[in-house]
Amino acid sequence: MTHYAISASNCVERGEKGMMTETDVIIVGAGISGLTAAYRLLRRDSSLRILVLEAKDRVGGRTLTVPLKTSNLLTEQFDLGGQWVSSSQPHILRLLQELNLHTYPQYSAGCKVVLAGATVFEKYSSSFPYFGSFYSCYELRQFVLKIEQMLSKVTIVDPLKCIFAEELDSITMETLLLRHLSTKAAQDIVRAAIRSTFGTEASQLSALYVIALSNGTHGLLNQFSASATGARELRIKGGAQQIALKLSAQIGNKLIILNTPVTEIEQSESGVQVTTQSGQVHRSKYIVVALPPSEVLRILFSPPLPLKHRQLLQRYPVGHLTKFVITYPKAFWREKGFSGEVFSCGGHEAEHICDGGPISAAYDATTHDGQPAIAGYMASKTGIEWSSKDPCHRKQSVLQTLSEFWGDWVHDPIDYVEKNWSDETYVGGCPMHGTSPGVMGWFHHIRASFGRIYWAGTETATQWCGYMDGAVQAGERSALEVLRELRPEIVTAADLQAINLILRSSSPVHVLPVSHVYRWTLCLPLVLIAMGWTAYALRRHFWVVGVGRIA
Amino acid sequence: MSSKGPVIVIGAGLSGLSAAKLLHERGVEVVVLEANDRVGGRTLTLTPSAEAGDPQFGWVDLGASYVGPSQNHVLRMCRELGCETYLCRDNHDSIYFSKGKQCRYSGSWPGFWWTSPLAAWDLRATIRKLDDMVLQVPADRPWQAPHAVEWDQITVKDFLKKHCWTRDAREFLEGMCVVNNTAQDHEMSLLFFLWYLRQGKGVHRIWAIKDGAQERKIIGGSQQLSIKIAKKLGGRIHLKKAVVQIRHTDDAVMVKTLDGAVFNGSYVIMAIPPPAHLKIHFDPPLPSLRCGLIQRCPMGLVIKCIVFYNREFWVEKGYNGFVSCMDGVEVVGNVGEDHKPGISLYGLICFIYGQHAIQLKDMEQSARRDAVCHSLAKFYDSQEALKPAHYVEKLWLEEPYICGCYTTYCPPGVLTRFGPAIREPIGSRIYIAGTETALQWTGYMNGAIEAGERAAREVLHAQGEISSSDVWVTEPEFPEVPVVSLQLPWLEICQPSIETFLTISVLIIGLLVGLSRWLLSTMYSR
Repeated sequence: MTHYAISASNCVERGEKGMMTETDVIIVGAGISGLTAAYRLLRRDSSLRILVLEAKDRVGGRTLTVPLKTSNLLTEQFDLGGQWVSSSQPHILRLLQELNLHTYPQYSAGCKVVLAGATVFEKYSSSFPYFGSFYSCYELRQFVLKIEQMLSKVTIVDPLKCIFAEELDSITMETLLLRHLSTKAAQDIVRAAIRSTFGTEASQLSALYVIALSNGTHGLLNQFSASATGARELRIKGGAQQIALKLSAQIGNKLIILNTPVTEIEQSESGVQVTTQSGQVHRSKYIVVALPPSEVLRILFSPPLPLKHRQLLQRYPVGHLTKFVITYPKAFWREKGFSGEVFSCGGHEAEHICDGGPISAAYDATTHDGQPAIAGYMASKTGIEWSSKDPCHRKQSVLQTLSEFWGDWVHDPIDYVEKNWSDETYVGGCPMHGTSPGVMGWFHHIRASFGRIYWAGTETATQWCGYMDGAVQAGERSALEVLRELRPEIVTAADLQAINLILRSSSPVHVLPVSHVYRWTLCLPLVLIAMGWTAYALRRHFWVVGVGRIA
Repeated sequence: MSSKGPVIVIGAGLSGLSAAKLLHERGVEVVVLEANDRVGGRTLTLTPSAEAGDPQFGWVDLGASYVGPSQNHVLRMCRELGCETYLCRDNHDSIYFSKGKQCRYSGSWPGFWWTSPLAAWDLRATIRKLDDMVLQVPADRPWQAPHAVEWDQITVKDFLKKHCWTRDAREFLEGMCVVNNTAQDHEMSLLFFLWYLRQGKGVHRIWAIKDGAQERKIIGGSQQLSIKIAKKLGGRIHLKKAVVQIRHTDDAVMVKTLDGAVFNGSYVIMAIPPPAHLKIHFDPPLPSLRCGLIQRCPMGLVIKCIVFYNREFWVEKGYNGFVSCMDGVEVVGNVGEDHKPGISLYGLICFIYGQHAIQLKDMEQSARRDAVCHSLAKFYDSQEALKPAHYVEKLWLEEPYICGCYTTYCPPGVLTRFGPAIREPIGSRIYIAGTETALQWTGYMNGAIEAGERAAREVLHAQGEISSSDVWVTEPEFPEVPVVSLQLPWLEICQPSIETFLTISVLIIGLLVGLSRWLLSTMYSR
């Protein structure tokens, strides 16, 4: 791969404002999405002059891999950001293959734990959580079934197309779950699931948004599960930030300028002019903005963005997530028959501020070469409440909660590290964004190009929106869109079809076939009535026989 | 503590200017940075220009306009700056319009002649329920209300669905929600709605003309307040300076604007709407709670337009000009009368909300005027409405630095979770003003002044000039505009709600049936 350094002739001095560069495409944001766009553009035409501007001092956006101490005084790389991929995510898998990165399965054998209330926890090993009473499980299954039926009709591309869309967009997820679930246990489980997936409370999310997004993940349950098509199936050897690092090496590190927040994007007939915080001016023909939507608001656009887009951005905040990783000398939980998976909507209250324990979810995070670790989240409400606590106290509470399931081993970790994503400027939060009710009608603006501005970033994806796969899909789509304008001669019919498939038509979505067991549970009331009737009939029969005998 | 450099006020709206004025009067050096090319923010007064050949309409407020009793801050500020207020007329009938049907009423609430008296009954009961709930929400800390979590989990729509029995009453209240907060009922948290009503002294006062929030206007327009303060401050105000970066340490602040200018100061007062904070790069970054809050309180969508006529045809028909309509068909959601003493051109102030505003904003101005006049003709059932003498408008939703109007609203789940950050200082050098942070009449001019002066006093306290007990000051009642307690009709006070009525009737019927059966059985047993 050659390096595409900016030739000196392209650099023009411009008064006290400093350097001014002239390029074909500027990409704002060096997360996976922006870097994929740059990489794909250069792969298609290596003569393109490209510049990537990144506000932070590192690439990778919402992926971050850090070294942690492990046994034998070694260190090993662990993910503090996005980490999972799945075999149902074609875009990221293809990219991983190209970058020569390998995956390994998430360990999920053994008992999982669900914690509801202060100390009550249940063990289960099925893919569906078992908790508390039979009725709440039954009710939860019906709810999931209902949602999966609904989501097969809604796409994120055109969410208002189906008949019940407006109704769903005028209620929150909380209202929807209260409508369908009557037991507190089932309600809490759904709330906790939403919390750990979106980093936002169910009461802040439009029901339609959750359902439309779940369509892109091929089902609601897929977002939580470590099964063959689930979002948590595979992990990347050596950590997920490698994707961004390898991409930037392929693009050429000279073309990626770090520590350069963009303050203004000005469009004219002939091109785009980007001003950075330090006063540098960069000109290009096209621009790809690959930022989280909440960060797009920081930039002044002239002419201003379409009103619906601006209003959508005002109503599309990012969630809150604190992730922690703990390394251990031995995977003692595996020895005790646990998978390491914890799912919590309870725990001990901490004095005054927190109305529950610190953990929302935890997973086995053992590396591919067998260094044992546990990773987990403190999401949304839980994360915000606990973020104001003393770090030592927080760590102790995390360990205390885990030790209640797995024993005192938990208290002797080798290393503990946590990251509150809301504290990182220019990211603002994790894992993904969520809208409040009433704006899904404008949602397509998130990826609709505006003049010479194209949009990337995982929130603009139409499948696996909010995941690394979505970031890659959006990056590739925006690269093709730019290429269509810049180099129409090398764009094939297949490319155009690919763009159309994403932007226009709602791509056919294969929704997980709902297991027959679930379908059968629908008939449960009928079965009960039939059994009751049979019992009654038999009783009558015996009664008649009995009377006969007496007679 | 020593202070180096001036206090930098960001935003030259009413709130920022009130803060700057107070500091200036205390001898503190101030610098005001404003992104737009004018002062006043969400207040904007238009006067007829001779070149454009405008007719003599005197003046007209395209932004905030009304003042009323208990808005003591703004009344005091008016007197101080030499502005007079005048009473709006309220001696005729109001109109409620829905799907082609016009309902004329004279009290506070429509009677819904076209359906059953049940709707009127239901409406009064729901409003009373709302008023009861409003009283439980503390104005300063709504997240500490006894049912805060429960109320913040649901939208206003969910509440209305649960407690309103008739469609007419529900539609009227949905409309009220839009007219008050420029947000649809399904977008807004119930707790936020109640808090907003609480700050506006309850449902009745926020809605009423006489003794309510719409009682008075300022002679000469409301932007005068800002212009007069700006005159006092002189060259301390810098226009067209959009702030892009704020760097703050424990003892200094550095503010950078879009054009590259740098201002060094001792403190910063942020007097801009919450969504506008998102445009600024803070260093060190904002606390996560504050960051979450400003991402989660969007501004409303509204177009305000004023149509002038040569004759007050609505008064001739016995209307006071007030119309509310939220049927989703008519573009205009709310109409009020723009009557000014001594001016012979009569205006109707029309508001276009939400989806209608988005649809209409891309039209030509003349097409928008025709659409508005068409609605007016239907409301008053008069062809005269189609022939306006003059038309002015302001597309507030298009403003790049104001982001919308009237004010922000909170979707469900925001106020209890992120609310405590609303007026919490950032670091030790940045204080928050703006009408959204007020304790009384948030979203109104009064709230802007209250919040601005409070932020200024917070800075004075940080400088060691005043004690902490002097930061929050209770404003004395303005003597000329006393707060008169509302005289509610007896029906609104003692009518039972539909639930109560049904429960009592079922109990009585059950009692009667039981009694008669007992009587019958005793008779038979005899």
